[in-house]
Amino acid sequence: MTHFTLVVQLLLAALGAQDWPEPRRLLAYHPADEWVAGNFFADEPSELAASSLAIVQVWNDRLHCLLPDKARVRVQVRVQAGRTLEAEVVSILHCSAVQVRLPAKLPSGTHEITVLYDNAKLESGEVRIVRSYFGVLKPVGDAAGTRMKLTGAASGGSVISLFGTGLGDVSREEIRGELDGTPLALLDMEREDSGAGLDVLRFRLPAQLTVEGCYVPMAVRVAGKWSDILPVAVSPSGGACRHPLGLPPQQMEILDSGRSIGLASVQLTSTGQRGWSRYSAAMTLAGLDLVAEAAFERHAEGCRTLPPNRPRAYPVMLDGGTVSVRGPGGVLPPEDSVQGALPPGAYVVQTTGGLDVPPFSVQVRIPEPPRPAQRVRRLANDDLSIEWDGAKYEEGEVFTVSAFDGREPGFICKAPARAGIMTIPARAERIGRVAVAVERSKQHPQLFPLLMSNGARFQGIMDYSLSEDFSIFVQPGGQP
Amino acid sequence: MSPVIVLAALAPLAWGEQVELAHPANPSFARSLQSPAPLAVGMRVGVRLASRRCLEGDGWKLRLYPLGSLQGYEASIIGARTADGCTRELDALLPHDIPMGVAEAVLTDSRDHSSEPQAVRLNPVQFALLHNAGRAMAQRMEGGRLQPLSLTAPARAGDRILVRAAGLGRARAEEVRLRLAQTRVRPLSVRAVAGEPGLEEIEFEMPANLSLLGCYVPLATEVNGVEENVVSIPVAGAVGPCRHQLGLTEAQLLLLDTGGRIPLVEFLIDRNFNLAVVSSGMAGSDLIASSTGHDQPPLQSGCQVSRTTGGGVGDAVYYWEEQLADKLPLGDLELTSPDGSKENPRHERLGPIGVYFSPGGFGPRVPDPGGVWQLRASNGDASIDWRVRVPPEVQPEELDPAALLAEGGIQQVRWNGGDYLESEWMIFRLRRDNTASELVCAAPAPDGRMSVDIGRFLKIPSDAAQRPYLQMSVWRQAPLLSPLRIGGTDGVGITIGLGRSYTWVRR
Repeated sequence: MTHFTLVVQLLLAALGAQDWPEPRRLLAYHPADEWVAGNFFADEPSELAASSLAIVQVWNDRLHCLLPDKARVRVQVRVQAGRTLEAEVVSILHCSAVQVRLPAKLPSGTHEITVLYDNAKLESGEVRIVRSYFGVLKPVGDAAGTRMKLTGAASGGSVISLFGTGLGDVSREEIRGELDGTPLALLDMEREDSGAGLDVLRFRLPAQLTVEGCYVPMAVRVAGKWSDILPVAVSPSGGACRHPLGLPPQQMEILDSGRSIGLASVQLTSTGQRGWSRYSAAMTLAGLDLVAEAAFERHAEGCRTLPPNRPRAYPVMLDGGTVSVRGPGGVLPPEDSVQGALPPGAYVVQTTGGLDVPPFSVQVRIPEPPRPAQRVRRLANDDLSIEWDGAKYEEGEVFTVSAFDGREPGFICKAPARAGIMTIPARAERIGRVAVAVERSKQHPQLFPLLMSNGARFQGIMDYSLSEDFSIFVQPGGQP
Repeated sequence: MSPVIVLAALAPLAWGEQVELAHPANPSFARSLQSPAPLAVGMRVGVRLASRRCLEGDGWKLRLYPLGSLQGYEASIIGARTADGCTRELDALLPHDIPMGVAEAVLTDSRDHSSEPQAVRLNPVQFALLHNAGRAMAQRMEGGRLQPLSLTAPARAGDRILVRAAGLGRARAEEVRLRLAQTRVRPLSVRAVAGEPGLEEIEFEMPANLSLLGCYVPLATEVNGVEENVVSIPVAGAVGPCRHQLGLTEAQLLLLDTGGRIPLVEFLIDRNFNLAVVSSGMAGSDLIASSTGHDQPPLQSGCQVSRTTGGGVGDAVYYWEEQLADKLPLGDLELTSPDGSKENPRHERLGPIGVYFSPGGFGPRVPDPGGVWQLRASNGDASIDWRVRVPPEVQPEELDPAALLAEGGIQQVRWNGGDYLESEWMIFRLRRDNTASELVCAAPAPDGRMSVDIGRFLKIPSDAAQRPYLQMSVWRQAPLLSPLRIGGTDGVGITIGLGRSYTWVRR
């Protein structure tokens, strides 16, 4: 503490209203960076590698179908004065975006990219080319590349395939795979320099697996860049994995066949004394991806870089009637957020029932939210330690600290709430504002059974997240 | 039909093809992406790929899987719609024996490649009238022959009329009623259409003394108290064409009936969204019908509980068979606001209105005093000098909607009647989220007051979680028409001025 002063305070200043920036009129981005897509106010294109698939999106001041016909679209990259390279137009994604394969001979650097329609320039923008920018585009496959099934999970020694684009000019040594932190052996790699194919990486799982589950996190690092974290179904003896939502084999079989099951999700959220509280409840159809979103914990304990904020698919809603929630302070107002935190205690969620789901009622106990008076210390190795009273929390509740300042990638740290202590690595010096929350772990969800009007059974997930915004300033020289 | 068990793996979802199923009364396949498409057992449905790609080859199969079940039920493919060598739509007949409730429909090709599933909700009945741009597929029986109704050959009292529908499902023919404007009509018969499996036809006799005549008189079917959609038929009181709201001549109506087009310009000012748009084009019968809307009885003072129609088979408005024409050469357009400022309004072609960024639309709101806006065109083929009055923003006096609801009974609502014209009506709408009925009260706007029957609203079944929503807005009794002559041809000019509404939602 000799060189630093820690100031922990509640974030009091409300964010000032800001004018929306003028949207870029052309944006070129990696297909795995889906969160850019459709975001009119995205202001930065993503990085791309030569030969990579890319999405090029253009728009006017009016939402309009600018690119209705693939045959009339051309995309060119100008690498230097007087020299342009043609990108191959692979498909029209929607009438304002095309998927292209970038030229193979693109040098690193920022270049001008132009979309032409009927050989007339529509818009220009910039494309940032780097040596390698790998992103995964498909769910994890088995050795043959077929999407892995929940009922056909990988086991010790299995081969799994990752399909992506943007591998670029890298050697085997620059590729690293991890399954829940365990290094994986790269079996082979295929680079697609032509055509519309994808780069393929194949890994062999260790013969002796120490983890199992339907959503074991896997990540791949290529030339220093980590990909998104992907779920892999792992079972010691192959066959069906053990599902964290307790799904029976028949429901997993339905999901594996590409169809959906019913899923209910009730969420109680509070952002603190100076924030707001609200609840949401949804009964939906959920396919493999939506079930994974509900059940996949990208990482459990420890700290990680924040994964990309992927757009959520819009689920098909089931009609279960309206929902009301009663807590220690009385009935919560429907749908709207209210000022202040949710008081700890017992809550009852009730529905009126609808066409698809009969009425149901479920109870939940909400713990105490994190307090601003958490004990924060800088350790000798410059790590940051946060302590709280773990005795107030239950098994299955996690304490999270997350930071995102808009420029740095941000991070999220998790620890079991009962443990009462978390250590944040030394990069905490760059913390400005953090969100501290207590929430329910996806690995230990609170489940409740539901019955549909047609007799089918499905699962409900009772979830809660109680957070506070803190500002933690770590400044050298002892001056706050 | 015996159940079929299919365990074939689907293509990976990210690369899967989306399939869409629609009720035949929903020719545009319009649907909510977040709710299962409502269909009835045993009915005909349209099937297409969301990408609108051609459905190449034969051997297509459609199977439906009740939610939570591995057991599939096969629908019969009974037809295909092909144009220019491309099959874009299939007709399928849904099975009768599938359980009610939510199911997923999967289309497979001859190689057993499967689409992504589309969620549907199978109901016992989903009875809706077939239409084209909102006009019923209606025919008159004349001496044993069938003649389609048209603008120049409308229905008259005593005529025997046949209209087509689909989705009767498990309902009985005796349960079907018709509503023609405000008149209830008992059908003479409701039966399957010979040679057209999955479709029904309703035969009825045109009643005498209809209170509403016109080219688009609303017609709806009702089964067990539910109206699924409202379409229209042309009705006249005597031999000759129907009376058109846009004042079209017999020659213009005949032109439309024979596939011709007339010039149409719409000028819209909407102060709720700060929109000022001019839409123009040569319009055929589809676009004219959708621009005109249904004939409505004259507004009357008082309150009524109206059913909000349309359980979800789709919206008739967003569908045109005719090709959209280019906008008309109107030249330079200049819009003058009531305070004298000038700007150039957007000029679009007729058809589905785009989504606009309205730079001032989300800015700070100040009370809008209304006034007359002027549209002028120069250097073009038409002489336009139109004025449209936008009523002042609705500002009820001392209105506390929460107190109104708490007190119930009949309450007075007041505003400054001196702000409004004789032709303007104040409409008071009160409804709740997700209820099928709403309270609608009307009064001449210059009256400055109306009695609203809150007691009737409170009797509409609902629960506490369904938030009440109130809107007060000013409407004109009839469309405001302006003369239009372009390139030597007479057309129609429609001007619409929407003032700012008053809205309230319980927080």
